[in-house]
Amino acid sequence: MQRFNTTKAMRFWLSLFMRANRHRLALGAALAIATALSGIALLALSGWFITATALAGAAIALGLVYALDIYLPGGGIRFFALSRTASRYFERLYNHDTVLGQLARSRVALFTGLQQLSRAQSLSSSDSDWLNRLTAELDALDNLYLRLLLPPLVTLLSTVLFFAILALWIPLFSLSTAAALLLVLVLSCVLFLRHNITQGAALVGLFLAARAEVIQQHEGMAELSASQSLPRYQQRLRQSSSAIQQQEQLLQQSKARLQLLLNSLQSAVFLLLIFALLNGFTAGTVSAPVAVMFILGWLGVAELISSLPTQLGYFGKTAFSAVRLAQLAQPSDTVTAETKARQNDTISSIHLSVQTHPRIALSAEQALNLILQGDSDKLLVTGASGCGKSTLAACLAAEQAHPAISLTLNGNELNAAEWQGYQQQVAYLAQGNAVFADTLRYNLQLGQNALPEQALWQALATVELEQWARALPHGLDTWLGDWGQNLSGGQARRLSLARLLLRTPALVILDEPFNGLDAQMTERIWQNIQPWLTGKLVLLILHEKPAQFANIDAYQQIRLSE
Amino acid sequence: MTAEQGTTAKSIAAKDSKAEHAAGLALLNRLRQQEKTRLSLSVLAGSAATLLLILSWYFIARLIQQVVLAPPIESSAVPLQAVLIVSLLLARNLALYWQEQLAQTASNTIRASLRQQLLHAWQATAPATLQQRAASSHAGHWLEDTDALDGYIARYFPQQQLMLLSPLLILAAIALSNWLVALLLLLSAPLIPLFMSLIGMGAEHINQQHLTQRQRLAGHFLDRLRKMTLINRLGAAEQVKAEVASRSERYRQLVMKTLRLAFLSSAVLEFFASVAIAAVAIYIGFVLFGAINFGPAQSLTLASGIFMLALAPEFFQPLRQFAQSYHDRAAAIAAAAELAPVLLPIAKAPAQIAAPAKADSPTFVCQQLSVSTAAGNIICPVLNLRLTPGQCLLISGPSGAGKTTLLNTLAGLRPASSGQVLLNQQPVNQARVFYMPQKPWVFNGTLRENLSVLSPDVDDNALLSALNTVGLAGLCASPAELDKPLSERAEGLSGGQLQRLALARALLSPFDILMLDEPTASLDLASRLQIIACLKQLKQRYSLIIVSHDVELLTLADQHLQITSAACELKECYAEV
Repeated sequence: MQRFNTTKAMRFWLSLFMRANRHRLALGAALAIATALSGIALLALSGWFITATALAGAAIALGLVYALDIYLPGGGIRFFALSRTASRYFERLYNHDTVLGQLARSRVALFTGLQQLSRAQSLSSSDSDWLNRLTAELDALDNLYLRLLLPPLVTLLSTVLFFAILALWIPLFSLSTAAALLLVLVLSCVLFLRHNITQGAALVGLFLAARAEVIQQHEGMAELSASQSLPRYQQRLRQSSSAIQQQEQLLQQSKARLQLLLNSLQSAVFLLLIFALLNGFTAGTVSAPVAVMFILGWLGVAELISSLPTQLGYFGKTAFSAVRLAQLAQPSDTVTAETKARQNDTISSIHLSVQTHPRIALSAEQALNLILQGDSDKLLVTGASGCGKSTLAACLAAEQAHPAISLTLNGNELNAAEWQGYQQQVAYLAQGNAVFADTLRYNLQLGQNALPEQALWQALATVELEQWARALPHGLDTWLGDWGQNLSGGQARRLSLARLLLRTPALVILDEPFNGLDAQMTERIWQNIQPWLTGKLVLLILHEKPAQFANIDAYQQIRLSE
Repeated sequence: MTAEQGTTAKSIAAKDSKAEHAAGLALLNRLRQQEKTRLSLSVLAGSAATLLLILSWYFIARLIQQVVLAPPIESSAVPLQAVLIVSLLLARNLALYWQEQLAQTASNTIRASLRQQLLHAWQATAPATLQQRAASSHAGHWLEDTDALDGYIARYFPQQQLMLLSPLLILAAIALSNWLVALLLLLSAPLIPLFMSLIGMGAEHINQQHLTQRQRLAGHFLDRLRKMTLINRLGAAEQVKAEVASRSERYRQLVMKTLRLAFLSSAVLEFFASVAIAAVAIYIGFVLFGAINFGPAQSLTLASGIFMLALAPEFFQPLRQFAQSYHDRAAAIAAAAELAPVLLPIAKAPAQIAAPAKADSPTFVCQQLSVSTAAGNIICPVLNLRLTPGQCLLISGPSGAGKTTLLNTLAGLRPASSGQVLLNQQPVNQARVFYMPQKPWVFNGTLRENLSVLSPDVDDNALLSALNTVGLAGLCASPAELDKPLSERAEGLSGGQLQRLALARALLSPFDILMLDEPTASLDLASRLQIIACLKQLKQRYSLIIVSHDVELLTLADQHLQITSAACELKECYAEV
């Protein structure tokens, strides 16, 4: 099963490469082979040349007539010297560019796949796991072509070519040696790869676990450090460090053994080659220059063979990444995401009915009906924590599909295909605060076309953040730290609210909008947003009905708990 | 638009790269010293391999000449030479094996020790400082950055030594045969490091940017993924996708810039190596043909010609490998520059953790404490206070006034501007404090793991009774349910439940003082009362410091610290209840 998946995933990514870059790949491979052959030819021709000249020199010294053109081979040697350099440089550059371009595209494809997934179902994998998939694993995919496909291909072709030419002189030796060499080579590499994929997968697993562990530890750093629990908690990381070290050692050892085996293999072939060629020379089937040509030419082939273990060592990691990413990038069958945006009718009435929802206790006994329309266009829902207030908000925002929910707009029941269009008309302030690691401006206007500065400042003023924003070093273009660290909880809450104030939705859902704010500020901001709320359908969620709020008596009230 | 924003961020983050580079280099040198012996032995094995190669080519070339030019060869000599050549080649392969193994072991040992050092550094650094970075970037330090040193230790460093030793051995061997060829190689060799260092220096600079860019790209991904629901909600899916595309494309361009230079440096090397081999071959050919007669031409034979021609590529081989690992060096220095400041806190000798003085009633004392924000705004110019078990301090003030920063300082999570905070006569950052932030820490694990994370040795009964005390008995009816996993984002629990779950941790082991940031902010009345009742109980045993707007909590407070407005004036008022 595991092996089947690996093969399939590798094929998936390779075919993705092939489809997008067929001619680029062919040209890249051609350049790689040209590089290898130039290297072999440089040494082979040099060997032929010095032997031929030595024989000619000896003959001439004996007074014999001997015709040898020494300029043509000399030119050939110089040509191969240059072609080796040039083709190697362009080969590497060209192939890296191909692969990186492909990776940039894969990145986007993967992001899209995940986005669809998040729409269809709540995401089960933890985020830290994802980060690794999207960066390290995507980067690992470039090995697929640059290390795992190209070098073995070039080595194989060069070896075959070498022995094919050699067969013109000593066919029997050449064919039998080639067969034996390739057999041992392929067998040992396959064995190595099999070992490497299990061990490599184990290492990636250790890395993933360690990453999640580090992230977890740092997220709880305040609690752990204050209570002096950190040293004990770090015990887990100490263990994972030594496990990683052991696993790496296993991988390195098998690679070093393959290297030793291949080095010995090419030494053995080399020696056999020397004796076969000298034998051929004594027998008169091979001339001396040709014999030396093959002996030195072999050095080029041997170098290719020796470089294999380093390249193949990337197999385990790459295969592991290929499998995991392929699953995410492949369009999933469960997602039929293409949704028709609902006509831009203004929503004038909404009816939400919830029956026996597991998270909303009150709906167990009888259907819970929320109706927003006409004079009763505003609704306040209160209740103890855990009674399902937030779940109710998410239901109204059409974020969760559940058989218990039915949502009717202007008298027509909303079907799944229309969700996305509906959501565009909803401004939903959920419980958690989300500050994007980006500028203040970005945070305010994400999802909208560029808004006039005036409007942004107006929104900030409404939530009493204007003064704070004016004091920022770069005003609206100030970067809000990685996790919005330079905002307090209350500020982040108000920023999240300001983001919605810049929109003109038909329905407003505010789930505990004033969490973390003191009573006076809460009242002022509530007063400030009244004009924005006017004429819109509103669902307001609070723990308790506030006594001091303006207009609050105009709200229908539902209490979800005793 | 996005590009502009990126530039703003980059200019904010821009640091003195030269100093960073030096710090990185210093760290690498310090680490390398730990495995001096193994690394030297690895270099020794590499030199032995070169020596064995020289010897084997000496015999191979001699054999070829004997066969080609002097046909009547004694048949008994051939097997003997074959055995000799085989054993030389095998010995060389073994030497190469040991060269690799030794260097690799050194690298493994060094990286494991570096990971240990990181753990110590995290302990020695103020948590507020650590939390200024994304948690994922700490993970990057622990994993990728540490592994980036592998190439430097296992390959670059031994290669650097061998790059000198190996060619010297070969050069000496060639010089014994023909000094003119040796001179030719010698002349081409010094040019190479010169070119390479010129090009390598540029590549290194770019590589550093590449590393930073990689981390930004990773941070951007995680940030946007976490907010995927909000992005969908805001209808920004397409916009963010375009953002991801442009970031990836920028990353590609940056990497290509590095590679263009990195490859250029190895191309220069290839060029010199190829041209030198060609020149050697042509010279030898012309001499053997009789076209060149000057210099040491007389002594040149076919055997010495083959010997020199075969060794010429080997002369450049260490240089070529070195050029490939030059990239490793740049990556390692960039990673070490990233790690060096993180490791800095352990260089300052860690304060000995004194055995806690056994005071009968643990007291919490602030002396002349002054606290200001990272930006330098004073939150609290001077604060003196004293708290004993059974007493509660309430801190309140408007949003953004710095209440959390102040609480962090009191908890020892960030250093004070001046003055000191003591618990039982020892600095508070060495004392056991229960701290609960506004967003409680709940991780991807079981209920049991989450509850017992600060006190691992408690039994089921204690866990269940703690849940009961905070009013979460409903979450878990039986001990078996303790092992049910919570999801990382805790979608299954409301904000109030998370708050109470975190508070339950305080009940599971003794603490000297509890510090809570907005413990009732997101709770309804019933939960609030439950928490307040719970805090009342805890107050009998411990000191409490609470940041809150909650008027209800004032009934608990013995002292009330009010931070007022952006002007950051401090009023202190004592209220006995």
